Amino acid sequence: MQAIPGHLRLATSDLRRRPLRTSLCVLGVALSTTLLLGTVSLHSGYVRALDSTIERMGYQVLVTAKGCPYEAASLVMRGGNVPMYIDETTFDTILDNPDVLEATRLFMQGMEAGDANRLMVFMGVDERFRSLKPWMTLQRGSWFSGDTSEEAILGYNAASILGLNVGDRLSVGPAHRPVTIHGVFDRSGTQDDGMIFLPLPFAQELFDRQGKLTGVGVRLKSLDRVQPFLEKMFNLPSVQAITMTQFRSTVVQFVATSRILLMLSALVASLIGALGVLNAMTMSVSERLREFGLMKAVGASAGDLFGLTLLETGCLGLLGAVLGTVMTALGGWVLESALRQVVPFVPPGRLIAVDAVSVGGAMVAALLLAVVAGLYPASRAARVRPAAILRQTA
Amino acid sequence: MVEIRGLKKSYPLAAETVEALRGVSLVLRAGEMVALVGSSGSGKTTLLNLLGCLDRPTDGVILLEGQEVQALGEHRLAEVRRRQVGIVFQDAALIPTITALENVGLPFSFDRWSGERAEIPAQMLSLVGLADKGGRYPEELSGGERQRVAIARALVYRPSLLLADEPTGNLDSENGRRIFALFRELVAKHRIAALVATHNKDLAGMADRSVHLRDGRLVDGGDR
Repeated sequence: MQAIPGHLRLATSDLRRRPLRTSLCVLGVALSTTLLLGTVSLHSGYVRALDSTIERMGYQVLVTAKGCPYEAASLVMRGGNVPMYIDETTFDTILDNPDVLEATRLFMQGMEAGDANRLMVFMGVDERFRSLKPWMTLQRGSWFSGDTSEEAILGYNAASILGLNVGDRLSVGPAHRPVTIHGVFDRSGTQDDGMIFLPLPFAQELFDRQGKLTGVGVRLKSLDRVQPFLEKMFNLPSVQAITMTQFRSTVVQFVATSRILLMLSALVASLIGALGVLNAMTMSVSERLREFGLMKAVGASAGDLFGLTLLETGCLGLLGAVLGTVMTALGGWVLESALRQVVPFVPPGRLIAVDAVSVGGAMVAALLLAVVAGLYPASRAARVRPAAILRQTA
Repeated sequence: MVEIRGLKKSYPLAAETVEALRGVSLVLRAGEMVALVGSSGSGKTTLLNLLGCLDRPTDGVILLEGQEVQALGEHRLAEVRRRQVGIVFQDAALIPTITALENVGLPFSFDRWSGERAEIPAQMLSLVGLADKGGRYPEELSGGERQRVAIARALVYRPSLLLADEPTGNLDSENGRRIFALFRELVAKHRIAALVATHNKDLAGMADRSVHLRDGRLVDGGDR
């Protein structure tokens, strides 16, 4: 049995005495930590996921029909109906460019498939698609048997959503034509996992867009040749080109703007959390003036009481920071959902990357917050005049 | 030995100044238990506050084991309160969120070198007859037991001065007599100078001598 109560024991004994107040106070700090940590982690996680997605697109330049290039790029990247098309002959022109190492024709349509009551993305591809994305390996089955064969290869997630395997049949397109599942890709961690791949000519015919493409993905021999290539594309009628670097920069700017708003929210939440600590600790100290007076009467110095009270607020801050970190790790999807509403392109996977540095920073911030909020109640505890004890009991 | 000379204390109260003590002189010898008697407002608590280094006198001298304490700095004064003075309050004044044993050991919590004294709180608790109740919280103890814990806490540093302000005020007469008897026994055994404020004349009769305070002056301080 402990005979001499340590400072930590003394500091935390009142926190245990009032569990509701302590819980609410910790929750306030936890919420502000969640917002702060979530905002910091969101940015690094988002950029990492975006870079990974762009890297796994397999091309550096996207050529699409004239319009908003960023909207077209985001639609192609996340999968969806791009309402404008380019002529397939453009692809041959691009291939003739000496700066081009490899290019692939892209044809994309969104429509319900089979019995799944949700929009699926169909992607018409050719053999060049595999050259640009060598990591897209088949987990089961094999590549299309021909350019016009009525077959489909499913992305990893699409197979799971539709509950289909190699050899199964699936109704696709406006006419609900049956196709045979010819393969299932391995998980790639990109939007491709959710797509249904069809042979390009068959996909064009299925959606009645013969000779049309959504875009062309281009990999150049050297990144130094990007500008001359873009200038040549500029001279082509009805097409535009955007580099993935331009796209990345624009999206990151969007995220940075959202991040400022989130950061402001986190600061407001931190202020509210600090006020919560200040209020709870001021009440706690007011209720325990006799105890502090007694401690002084038995030999505690003003510094001891100041330290004890700060230790108590530090415990609140630390508990809140730990809870906030857990909440961020488990409930970061709420922040992610908010971001998906305001940012034009959100890469797949978890956007909130909680790493040790961010957690350490959030812990320090929460502790500082609690300690600063605890300064006033601590000074009040330290200024207690012990003589009041005897006067009250006389 | 504890000695006070010409002790004065005045408080500003609204527009006037209240003179709570008007020049009190007293000697408390080691092993002697002195009852401090007086009506409410006579200055008993003020005197105990000054002797306990909880407040500073307006004038006069307090000598604790030959050391003048009235002019010491705050940090040094805290050390004097911790090591040289033990105080027992009317309502025991225990910390409710720690055990009886921890309450006894509380003064050690504020001492940097307290580790080697870990056994003393249990010994003190045993001395007041509560060896088996160290793990209980104050609310699980009776009024008399709480007061015993408070006495053990006051004596844990083996102080040279023990002060008690109406220590039996919240107890029935039987428990009050027991606590007073315990005081007497411990004061004599450990050679402590003790000043115990009480309204109860019977209990005051159990002390070695009584001093009577009226309107801030000692009016009767002779040996019995």
